[in-house]
Amino acid sequence: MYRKWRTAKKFLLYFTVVITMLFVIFPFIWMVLTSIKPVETIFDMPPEIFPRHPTLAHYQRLFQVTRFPTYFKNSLIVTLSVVAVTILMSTLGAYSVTRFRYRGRRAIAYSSLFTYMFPPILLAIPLFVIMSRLRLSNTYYGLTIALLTRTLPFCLWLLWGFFKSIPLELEEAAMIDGASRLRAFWNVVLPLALPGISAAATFAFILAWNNYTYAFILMPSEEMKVLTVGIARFAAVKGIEWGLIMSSTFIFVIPALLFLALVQRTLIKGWGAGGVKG
Amino acid sequence: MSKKARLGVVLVVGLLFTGMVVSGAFGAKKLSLLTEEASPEAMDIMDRTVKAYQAKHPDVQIISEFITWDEFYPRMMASIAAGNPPEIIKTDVNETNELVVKGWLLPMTDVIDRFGAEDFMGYSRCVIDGKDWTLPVEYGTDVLYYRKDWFTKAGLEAPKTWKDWLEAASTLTEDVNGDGIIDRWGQVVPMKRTRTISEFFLNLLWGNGATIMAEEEYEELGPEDITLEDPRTKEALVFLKKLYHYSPPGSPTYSWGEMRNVYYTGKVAMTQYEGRVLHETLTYAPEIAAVTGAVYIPTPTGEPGPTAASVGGYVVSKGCKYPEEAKDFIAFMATGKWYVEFLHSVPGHYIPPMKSIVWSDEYWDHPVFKKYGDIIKTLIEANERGIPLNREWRTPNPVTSEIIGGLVLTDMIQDYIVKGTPIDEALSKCIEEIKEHMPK
Amino acid sequence: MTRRRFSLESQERRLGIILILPIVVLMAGFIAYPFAYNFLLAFSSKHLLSPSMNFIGLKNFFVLVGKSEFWLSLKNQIIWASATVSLQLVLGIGTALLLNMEFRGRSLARTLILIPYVTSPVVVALVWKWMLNDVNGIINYSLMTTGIIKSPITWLGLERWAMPTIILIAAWEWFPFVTICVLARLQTIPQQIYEAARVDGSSSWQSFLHITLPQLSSVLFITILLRGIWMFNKFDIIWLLTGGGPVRATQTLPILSYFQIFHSFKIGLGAATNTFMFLFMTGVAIIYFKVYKVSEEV
Repeated sequence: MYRKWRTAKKFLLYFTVVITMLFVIFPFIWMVLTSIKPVETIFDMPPEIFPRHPTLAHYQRLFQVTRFPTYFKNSLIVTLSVVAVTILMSTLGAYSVTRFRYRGRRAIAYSSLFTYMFPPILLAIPLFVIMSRLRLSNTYYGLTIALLTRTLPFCLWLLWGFFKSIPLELEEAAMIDGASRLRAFWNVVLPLALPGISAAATFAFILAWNNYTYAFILMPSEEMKVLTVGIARFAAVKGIEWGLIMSSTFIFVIPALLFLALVQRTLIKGWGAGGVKG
Repeated sequence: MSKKARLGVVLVVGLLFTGMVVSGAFGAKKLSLLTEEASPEAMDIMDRTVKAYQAKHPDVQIISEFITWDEFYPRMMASIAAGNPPEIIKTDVNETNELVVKGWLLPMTDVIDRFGAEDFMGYSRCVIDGKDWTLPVEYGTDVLYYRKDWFTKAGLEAPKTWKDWLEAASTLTEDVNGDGIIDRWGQVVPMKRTRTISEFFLNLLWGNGATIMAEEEYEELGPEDITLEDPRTKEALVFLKKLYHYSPPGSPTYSWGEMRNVYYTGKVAMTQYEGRVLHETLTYAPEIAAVTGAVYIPTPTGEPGPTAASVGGYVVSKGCKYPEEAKDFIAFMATGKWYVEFLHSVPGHYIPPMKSIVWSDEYWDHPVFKKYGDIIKTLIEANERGIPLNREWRTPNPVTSEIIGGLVLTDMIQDYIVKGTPIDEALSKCIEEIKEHMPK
Repeated sequence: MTRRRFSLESQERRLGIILILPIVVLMAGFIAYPFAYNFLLAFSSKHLLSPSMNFIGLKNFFVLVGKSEFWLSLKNQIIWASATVSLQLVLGIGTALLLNMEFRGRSLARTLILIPYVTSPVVVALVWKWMLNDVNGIINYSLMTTGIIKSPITWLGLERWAMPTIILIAAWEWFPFVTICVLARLQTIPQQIYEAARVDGSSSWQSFLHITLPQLSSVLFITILLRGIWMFNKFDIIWLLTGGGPVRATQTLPILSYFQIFHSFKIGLGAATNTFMFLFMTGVAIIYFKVYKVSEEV
């Protein structure tokens, strides 16, 4: 009787997991399936679920006809810059507010989240004005800086919580043993902070890779366009070519997936600390 | 060692900021170009034209930017607020009018003179205060496309009057495969909250002899000049509602793109728009193109009337550092081989406003023109009755385009047709809104 | 030891300030200045395309509250934000509990569940539009073959369905954020507490109520706050899916301000709308802090 109950429970668990996963990833499966259907069968009714004659023609066209490669490169450059600078600045910032005592440090950590109250659409145009005056519109720097204003508050706050949970004593011990502050930071704090850093990196990556509003206002020229803007534009122009659109969105999602796979192990642990202690 | 850490931070921050400043400046005569034409064909031809021009003029560098119409004002606004609008802009004459009134443009009379002012058709030029402000390069007027095969099968003639139009729409809305669900519609009426439906409606309004406002100089326009309160306006609205009845259920989400899509995917029997319908139908469904016909937009009487048109042209903004180079490049784009290639990139949609070119052999030397000559001819001749939105009374007036851009008409149409607001209420609300846009 | 700690924390204050300075400068320059500019606009009359700007006091705000469109948009926005955040919480907590259990392939499932969250709204809008397509869409097709609906529904085109549909899509995209926040916290709850409770004879439901939920309280506080702010301000996904339509069924204040600025050219009015949104949200946040504090003490 008990064993039966256990098997039923186990079955229920796996059933729930599978249903949840299907709910989560079905749109992506459908995206991939559409992207390998030949033009003639895309609009078939009833729809053909698994294409009988799969084709890579849409992918081929994507790279031949559109400027996808340029957009891709731009997105990658901006995103990696945002991630790198976010990590650098928020790690040092979090180290500063947890390891030094000066007036206003708590206020900085708390008020950073407050900046999310400003609707991005409100900031977009004035940001463009500033960037143009600084001659930074249509440059990687301009968009990177704009995106930093969205990534830094959360990452600083996340790492603040994380750094608080790393006991000071470990550093002190190292420093008593004669290590310099830099060495203590590098050898003791950083390894312990790695999960938090990878969580912050994920957040920054997602935000930078996927941003549309700022990218549209700040990187308008054709050579500097990023993927979100590029895809939205050619989806608007080529509204009917669903195969082409779905192939572009699929390739667009891949780097995010790779990044996720990369940080997957430490991500959840790191995401926790900040939220918990906040 | 902490000094080192400090030094490191200072270095990183310093590097970041110097990098930004350095990246700003280069030499060469740079001209930025913004165009509303974002289709791959238009982008391709523009790229090649730019390369050809730069090969001839190595000191000039043209940086082009392609955006869709929806993105135009956000981009314009942002750059105007920053004090540096794009130097060359390809845009519709309606927006041009607005930009002239607000003082953002340089006169283009000298460029027009290069081509000869009398060569430009109908209302393609934008003359304000005695000066030309744009070099028009394409002129397109709405026509009604219809499925000849379905019309013949149902024993219908190409529609001329509103009565024919409605009858055809009603007859052709049916359940073709017999599963109890309607799967073909007579006419597409794009009802998304965009200006598409406003322009659709203007064809009916003007076709019925009504207008939005009375003829008046721009500065003198006041609330008393609004002429919408008229039985003919209501007739046009009522007619549109009847037509909407035969439009696919997805219509509230349709704008320009969807309106054309449903035609070349064979879901509707009629659509109205410019030459791009023919081009896209040929590209995506040549078998439908083969059975497509085009007529003037029907009117109550059957006599062709004024129809909404768009005129695309190049303007130069006031802040342009190299106006002579900019104008020279614009003229280059509108001359000879490169111009004809541009016109052919979307055959039938880009119709030249110059009389000397529109019937020329070079322009007609294209396979699509040979095969679909009758449709192209209808499109070209429709231009004779084509009225740009800012020229309801033939004198340029930016208020009309502001009203259409501000979706005032769209809101009235949606209120009456989709929400079911009484016609008088919808109309009077609309008139109140228009008053806010009057200069006086 | 205490002396050493003292020196670690209080000396080299300057170094501490230098380390935080880049963030402060960046935020001040690129958030505070744009905000001030916008604030100024809200009290001015300005046409989108004209450089002149006249101070008109509170007039923009009076015009704003006098329009039925404004109240409709505010209502829509409140419905939108509260519904989608609630749904994200339910889905997020549920999946976090599920992924905290032991089963094979758990780490794969934990990665997969994040996929919607790492996907751009641009992509999400396109994929869902394709699936929701009125005639060829897979969703209508599945619902019709299973007999749930008789004829295809234009999900994004009907006033009745548009709002629920975009709420669901947004919940689908952002619930994984809640999942990771909650899951991360769940992992730090010591198993002994549960075991002790089991020994005392409490059911798993009781354990959830008396152990898990209180432990989640702090993480939920911040998650609701962040998600609430982010969803309230959301522009892109609504714009890309419906553009505020049909008619105005999904028009929220960010969409309204977009129309005011870029279609009606009234940039001062648009700025006033944005400023109102900011003030409204600040008010809600203050109440939220107070209420949460109170319930915390009880």
